[in-house]
Amino acid sequence: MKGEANGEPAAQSGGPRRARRRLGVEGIAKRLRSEVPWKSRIVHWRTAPARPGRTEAWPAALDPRLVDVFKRKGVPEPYAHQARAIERALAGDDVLVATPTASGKTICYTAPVLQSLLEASEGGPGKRGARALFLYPTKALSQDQTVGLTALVESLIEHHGESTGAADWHAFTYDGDTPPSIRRTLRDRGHMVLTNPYMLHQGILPNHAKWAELFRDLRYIVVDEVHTLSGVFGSSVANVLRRLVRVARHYGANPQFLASSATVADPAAHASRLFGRPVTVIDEDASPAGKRIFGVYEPPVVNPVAGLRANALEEARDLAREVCGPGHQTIFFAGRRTAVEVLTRYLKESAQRLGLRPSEIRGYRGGYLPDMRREIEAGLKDGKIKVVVSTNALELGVDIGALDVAVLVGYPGSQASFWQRAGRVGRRGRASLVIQIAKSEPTDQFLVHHPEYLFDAPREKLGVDPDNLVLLSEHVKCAAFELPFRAELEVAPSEPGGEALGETLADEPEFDSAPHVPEILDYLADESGFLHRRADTWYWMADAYPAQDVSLAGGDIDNVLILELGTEKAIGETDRESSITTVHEGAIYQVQGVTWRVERFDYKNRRAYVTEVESDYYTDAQTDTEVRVLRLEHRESRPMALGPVQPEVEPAADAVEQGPTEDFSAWRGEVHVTTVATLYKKIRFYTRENVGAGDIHLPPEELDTEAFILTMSEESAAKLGLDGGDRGSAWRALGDLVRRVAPLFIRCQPSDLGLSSHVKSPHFGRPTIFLYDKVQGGVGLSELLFGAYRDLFGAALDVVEKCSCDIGCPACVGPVAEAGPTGKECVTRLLKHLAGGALPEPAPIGEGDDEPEILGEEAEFGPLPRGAATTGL
Amino acid sequence: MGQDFRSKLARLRKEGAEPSAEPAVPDPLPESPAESPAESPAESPTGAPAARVKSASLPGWLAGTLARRAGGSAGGRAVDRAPGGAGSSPVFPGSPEALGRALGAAETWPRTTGDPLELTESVGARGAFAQRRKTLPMESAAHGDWRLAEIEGAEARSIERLSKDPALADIDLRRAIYLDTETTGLSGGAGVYVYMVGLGWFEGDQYVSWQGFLRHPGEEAALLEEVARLIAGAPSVVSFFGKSFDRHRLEDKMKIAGVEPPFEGRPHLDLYHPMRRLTRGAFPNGKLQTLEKGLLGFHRERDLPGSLAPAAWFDYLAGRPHMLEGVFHHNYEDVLSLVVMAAYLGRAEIGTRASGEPLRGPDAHRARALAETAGDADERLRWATVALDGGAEGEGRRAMQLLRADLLRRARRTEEARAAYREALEECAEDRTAIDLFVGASMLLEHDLRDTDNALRMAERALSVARIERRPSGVLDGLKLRASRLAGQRGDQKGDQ
Repeated sequence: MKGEANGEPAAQSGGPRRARRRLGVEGIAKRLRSEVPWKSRIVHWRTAPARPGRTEAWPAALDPRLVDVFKRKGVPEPYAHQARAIERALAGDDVLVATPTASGKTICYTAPVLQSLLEASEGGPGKRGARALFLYPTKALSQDQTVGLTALVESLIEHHGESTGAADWHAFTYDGDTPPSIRRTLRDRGHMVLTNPYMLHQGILPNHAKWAELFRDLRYIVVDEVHTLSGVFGSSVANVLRRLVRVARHYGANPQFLASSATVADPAAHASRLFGRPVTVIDEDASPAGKRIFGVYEPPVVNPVAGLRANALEEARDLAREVCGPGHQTIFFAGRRTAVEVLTRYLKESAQRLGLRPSEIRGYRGGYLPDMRREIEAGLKDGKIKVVVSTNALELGVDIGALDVAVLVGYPGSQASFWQRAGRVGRRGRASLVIQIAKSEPTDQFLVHHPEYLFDAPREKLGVDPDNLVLLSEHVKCAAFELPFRAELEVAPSEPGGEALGETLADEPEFDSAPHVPEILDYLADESGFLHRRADTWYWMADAYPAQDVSLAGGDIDNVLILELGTEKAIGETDRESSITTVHEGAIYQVQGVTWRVERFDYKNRRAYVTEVESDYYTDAQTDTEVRVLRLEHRESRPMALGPVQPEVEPAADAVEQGPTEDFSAWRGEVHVTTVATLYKKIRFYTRENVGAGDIHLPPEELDTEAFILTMSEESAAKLGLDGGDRGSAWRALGDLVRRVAPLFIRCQPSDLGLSSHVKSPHFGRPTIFLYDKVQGGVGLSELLFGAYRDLFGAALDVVEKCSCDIGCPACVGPVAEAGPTGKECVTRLLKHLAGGALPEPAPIGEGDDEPEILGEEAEFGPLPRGAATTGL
Repeated sequence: MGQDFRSKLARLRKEGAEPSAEPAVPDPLPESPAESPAESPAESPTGAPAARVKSASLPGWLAGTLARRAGGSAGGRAVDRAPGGAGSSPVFPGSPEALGRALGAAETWPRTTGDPLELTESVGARGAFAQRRKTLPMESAAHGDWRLAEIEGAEARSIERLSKDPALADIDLRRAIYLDTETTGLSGGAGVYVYMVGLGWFEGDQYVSWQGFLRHPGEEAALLEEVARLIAGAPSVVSFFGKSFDRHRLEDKMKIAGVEPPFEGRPHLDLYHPMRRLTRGAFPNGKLQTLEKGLLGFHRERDLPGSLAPAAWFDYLAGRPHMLEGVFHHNYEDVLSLVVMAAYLGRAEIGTRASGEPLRGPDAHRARALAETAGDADERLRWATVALDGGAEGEGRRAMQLLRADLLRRARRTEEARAAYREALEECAEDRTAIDLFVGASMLLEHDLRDTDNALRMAERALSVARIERRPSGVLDGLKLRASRLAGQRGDQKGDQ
């Protein structure tokens, strides 16, 4: 074998390799259930029995030649969901297939696309051609799919001859790697163009005339993995799709959307926001599955007082000796790149004990060269590689075949990701095993106690807001470069020739659905000088290429470059928002264990100059955050009298007499957030003692966004014991916990949400928590929070109540040092009150509530710097 | 409401009034028109949208007023040339020096307000657009030190050969259409407007200059349709760099406007490539202005650099004083340069003007281009000799020495070939050309002079120079093969003796 030829130690016959060869998935599960220490650590088991597939006849409308080709590719009959998807697509619907990994989604869009090509090449002269554009979130996926489509076309030619016209059909990947020399051919002859949102945005749409043939004949737009399209990226892509349909319409095409997704909550709502029109959703999975065994693993408590549990990555190392072996394939998913490298190295070192050769154990992550990635993918597919440790790079549909055991180190942050990862294992007719190892995070701990959350219907909502004014105005700018916009006067329908109501867009169904577009266009003409308005038309009128300055992922245009003083060598980059806390003068900037001191921060030109120093301390910056309420839009409130009385709190005799006042309210509104860095502390490595401090003098960071707001009346706060010395800490800990469980119900990272808490907000005059969307203008997170806050309080309560610590730990309210000695107790009481009792009801926005007030110097509790809560743990 | 929305949008886009340290104090009123106010062209030609600049300058309405006043008072048309200005050297848009020169030049072209002069309106099926048409008598009209009539003696053969484009075998410069455009940018993409299309053609004994112009972007379709019609009426197109730029800008816009582009299958002489071949290394660059000065004796008096063309139209559309007259003039001159440059190209082989006087320009370079593009060996040899006799220098001389020696060898003019190799290698035996010279000499010695010993010696020298020059392994392998074969032969011969 190759490994032996390379001089690697061969596993002795009769040694572990042989002994472990017969290790089957069911056998592993059995051992884990019965042996110490595993049986006490795996706190929950669930088995899904093998399930047969449900097939149906091929839709009658599908061309028999295509049926034949699919049969030859090993699909005698489609699963029910495939049949229905194909049927609806052929009937002209926009279709979204939201079923798990490996349920055969590809066929749902390749069949209609190929059918349209067949019809077009056989239609007489004068009939339109047919072409399709495929969008994939990653380059690797589009490469894979190009190969698959080409194979189908070749099979069609082979078995049904040239008469199909298929010899002229070409599937091409068009991305940054496509050599310029073949781009022309590809534009003219590519009937199926596979690309990604970035290329569409910056390459194809601004140059649409070069793609005129594609747009004229565009029948289908295939969008793969739409669950990845949320937040700023999703909202931007939704606008790119508006531009795409608009350009296609200019050339006379009216394309249909065919999309696929992992299972998410309310896929229809998500798809219709992305595509701007109602979509037929097919989400009943009819594919067969082998027996699936799931285990939820809780690392043991190592410090009972602090409630600290063993590190999840180290537990994964231990678990490896049970779940790896030469007779099956195992995949580990770890969060970070460094974790992948550490675990891979450890496993390679213990290869012999696992009965493996080191070459059979590989790491996989972004940053590896494409060739190496291809080699690993092939090794997994043909079974030569037995163990792979990966970041989320293997989460999306790169083809590696089906494996047997998956170990997830930490909850990946969303149900969709969890199922994508779990979906990597499970071969037809064989059992598979998934072990989820919990980290010391509230979400992970919640899932330990509520594994059903993972298996029930998905609950996370995807936040997408194509009408975010910042993103919308940027894409309107790009769209105006592509084609002029035209306005028409909207006239009151009842009286012809009556009073004009204002302007709308003429013949622009895509952008007309968004608010304010005519005003945005006027703004771009008058204030920014990019457009020229003449009569009813706005024309692009600048020597610039706007798509170049608009990033789909947001943010990266204003980055701060970190340079070595003197040599100007680039050391790193940081985003604008965190620059005030990470590269202020005096800050210690760390890269891979090397420490640099920031000597000068040229804020205006976005450059920080550093020198390498041997520092025995790091720096931790403090910030003050002010949140100013600009406008309140929604409110739900619960009156005092209906609130449950907490037995452990003395009933306040006079409260009843006051009559029904507010207990607490939830709000949604627009806010202005000002974050100013005030000072930094120097903290010695290891001992964490404070060895000095300095002031930071930098302009504040400003953010206009949307927030979810919780206010509680002074009376309720007093009754619940939210008073005394550390009430601020407990109130803040509550907000932070809600922020950290948010990903259970909303697709986001906790770091996407900003937190500001006040025991007496100057605006509301009572205890207030702001959770705001950290994207300028907001991308819909506040709305989702407003829709789910009771669930969030419930989940947060559950985490605190079930946490094994005594008085607070990072997995619940945070360490005592942050939440205060009575923090856990107080937060529990507050959450019980908020999550229980009568439901709040829509309430009017009170007098004066909506009036902006300028905050004084009182903002007390700025958010902790990202990750500070767990530093050093 | 509208104002509220605007301020909200400005705030969100972070474009609103910044809490700037320095309050915006307008500059004192400019004293003279030369120090032009806010939207002096300095601010837009480098590709920065006006937006970036605006906040730092005067309020729009004030700037506009000042500019109009400035433009009005400059009605006398200053023609004095700024130092280092127009015509002194080619312009590279983007570099600071270039910008400085561009500004110097630009300031000599006075701004005007309103529509450009001498426009007539043309109305077609897709609406109206404007044009400026002018005719010149072909016999007497001159450009630089050329007369337009000199296209008469131009040879298609010469054009085809130097362009390396068989489609030009029958090009007739009298029937061709000459094309140059002015656009709102070089970036490409759907948002770039072709706002001026300059065409030139011959009608009887007249040269017709036709410049189509967009008075506003809504006239685009009408203009494009007329341009497509005019180009489609000519058997071939002549441009400078147009195969790479003008053609694509027009084609893109035509596809968007639903006009059938006229370029596919129509022979297109893009002068850039053959002119580069004719002058390779003789001039600092291959730009039109450089070539017309060096070859056609044409010096532009006051030229508005093409890089200022976008700003001129933006100013015009916004109702500000503009330099479109400069753009019209620049474009008009460009098209005339195409005509006489095509005539030059068609006379490159004859080598003389209609008057019989020799072509101006680098003779040795021209001879080299002709040697390298000639069809048969005799002609190649003849031009290589001309190039060498004409004083070819440097790399061009080495290339011609090699070509001449190889041609002589192949023609079995053994002694002359030997002398040619010797002469070349005496001049220099250690550059890349020397490798090929040694190989040629080796072949000559082996096949024609039957001197295996020396053939081997030459092959070994070729190999050693190739190693020093770090040639790729494929080259080295070929040389090694030759050397070892010769070494083997010599062994055999020795054995025979």
